[in-house]
Amino acid sequence: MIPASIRILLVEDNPADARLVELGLVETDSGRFRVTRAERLSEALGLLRENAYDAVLLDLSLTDSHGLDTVSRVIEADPAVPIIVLSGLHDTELALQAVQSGAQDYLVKGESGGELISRSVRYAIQRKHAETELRRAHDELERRVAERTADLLETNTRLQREIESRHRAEDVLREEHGFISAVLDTLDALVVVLDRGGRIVSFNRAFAETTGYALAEAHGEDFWSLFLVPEEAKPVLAVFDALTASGRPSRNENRLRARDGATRLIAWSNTVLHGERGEVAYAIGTGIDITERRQAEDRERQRLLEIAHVARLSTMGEMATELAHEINQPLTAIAAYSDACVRQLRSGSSHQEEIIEALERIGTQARRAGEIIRRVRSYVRKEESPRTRMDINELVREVVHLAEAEARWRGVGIELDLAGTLPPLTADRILIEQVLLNLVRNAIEAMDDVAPDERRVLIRTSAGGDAAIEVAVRDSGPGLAPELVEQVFTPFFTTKPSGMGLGLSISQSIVEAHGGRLWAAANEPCGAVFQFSLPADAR
Amino acid sequence: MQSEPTVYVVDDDEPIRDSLRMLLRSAGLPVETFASAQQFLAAYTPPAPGCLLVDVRMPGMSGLELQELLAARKIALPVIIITGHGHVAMAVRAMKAGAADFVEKPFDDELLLECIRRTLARDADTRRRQSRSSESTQRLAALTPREREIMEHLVAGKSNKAIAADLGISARTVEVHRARIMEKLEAKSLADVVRIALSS
Repeated sequence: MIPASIRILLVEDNPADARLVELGLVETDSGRFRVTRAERLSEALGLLRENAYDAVLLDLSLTDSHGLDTVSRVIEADPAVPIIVLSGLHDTELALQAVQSGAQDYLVKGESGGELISRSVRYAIQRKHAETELRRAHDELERRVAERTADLLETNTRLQREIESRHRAEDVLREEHGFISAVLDTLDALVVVLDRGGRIVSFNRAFAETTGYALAEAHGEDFWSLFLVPEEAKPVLAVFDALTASGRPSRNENRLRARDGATRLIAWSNTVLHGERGEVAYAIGTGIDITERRQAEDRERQRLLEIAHVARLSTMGEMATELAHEINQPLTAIAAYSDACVRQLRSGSSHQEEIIEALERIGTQARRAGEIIRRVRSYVRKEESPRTRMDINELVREVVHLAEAEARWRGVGIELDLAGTLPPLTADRILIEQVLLNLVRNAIEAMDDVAPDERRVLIRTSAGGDAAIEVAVRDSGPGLAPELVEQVFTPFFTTKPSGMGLGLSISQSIVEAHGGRLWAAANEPCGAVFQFSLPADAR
Repeated sequence: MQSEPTVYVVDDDEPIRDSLRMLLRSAGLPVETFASAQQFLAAYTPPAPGCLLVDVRMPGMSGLELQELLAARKIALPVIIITGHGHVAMAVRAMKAGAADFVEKPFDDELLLECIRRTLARDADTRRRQSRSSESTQRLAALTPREREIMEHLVAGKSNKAIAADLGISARTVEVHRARIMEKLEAKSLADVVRIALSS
């Protein structure tokens, strides 16, 4: 703690006093003290700034400073250096004051021998050191306390804020809950929430009004047994299971049974609500009552079917001559073969091989006639055929069979360009056949004024964009005037001397009832192209 | 093409051609079949005898058009038109244009064969008459103007004496001309002379 060599700054303007102190120190502990002397305070302060001293021996009456001010200026210049005041015999009062204002000790000049000075210096150094340490420890303590206090304050503030925000969130939630309920109750759409077990959690006003149940009485009840007709329970359960298993939104339609037993047809959009751990917690159905809409659609469809049927009958009427000819051909061959057989057998000149071959041909021709009749009967059938999965290419070939007599008679060649693979299509077969036959016959009839070897109809099937199937019927006729491109689809519009002008209008209605589109355009290099697209089945 | 009278069948429907071929052969008639009027025209060499059995309704050239074409080319092949049921108007048109007959599909074999045989017989008769007529014309061409003049008087039934008086020549000269005419026309009697003169 006490350095081996003690550097002392002696500030004393009286050379004799200074000398006495120096001598005293040398006497006591020779070689240990290194004394530097300054006569003025300004000189001392300069030395203090430039050098390190272990202690300052300070006379309070200097030429440029007096009294306690001297002490405080030294402390100011180097707060860490211990100060021992050198005081005159009558100045002890001042010396005591100096000690109180930061000096470590005081020595009375002339009375202090080397021993005393040396001890005082050592003590002063030690005391000052201890004081400094104490202060540092104290400061450190103070700093730490302040730090912890700041931490605590911050935590406290945070907590405060969190509490406030939670209060606010609860308020918002409470507000939102009421708000959302109110909003849901204004909807015409039905909203129902089920838990994973299919029990009623909640529903809105529209649902309550449609079913005649209040939420309070239906809450917790099984959705299926309360609201579904028995035969639909199973498929709807399958929709629910798929929804809750995958979490993917889905759509379905089913009837909803009210308290009084009446049923309404609802189109549902189904979604799920996830729980805290990401699991599917609730199923939510949003439904629109489509009962009336569906009834109107059914009536519309029925009307279209009836008109379409009349149009098919009318087409067959127009084609009667061709069809009669087509049926008469095989009948003629059959009659001639059988007459020939009878003649040969009667005359005894028959060859068995020839007779067998003729009989086989009779069979073939009978089936040919039967096939034509089958096509016509199937085409004019009235009853609604269920929408079935069908092969559009096969339908094209069927239509070509129906139309080929007329085409042959008018010298028109029919070419096919059928796509190898097409997406599956579900449609009313007879109606689509009707559309196709109508387009093909229009194309055939459009070419009466074209040179015979240039009368061509091309039927092409292809996969369109957006999962659709496209069928195009191209002719090499005179084409459509631009102003007629839209007009040809209006009812009773016709360019033919005979014909009602309903074919394209009905065809368009049929295609649109299947969710498709029918349109006309110019063909290249000449003629017109009528084409329709039908949506393929969803995968 | 053989000179034996043949039934030429023109129909675009293969089963009809094939069954007709079998039926007509069973009845002992030579048959040739063609899928179109064009095919027939390419194969037929006039004036091969027979008859044409052609469907009125065919793509390309119809039976009626074929009939008109033959008439325009002065091909004297009798045409039997095949019509479907209910094509009476077409049958009438065909007959007016000179068709030999028409048959309706499906055929009654008896009626069809009778119709074909009748037509073939008429064709043969016509051809006989035609060949006779061309023979007469050749022989008449050998007569001098004077001989022709005298022949016309003979055909009119005048006596040698009356002809001599009319022409201002002697009966003896008329006698000599008459012998020359009989010789040139290869006529054995006056009746032969009259027949040959009328058949030209």
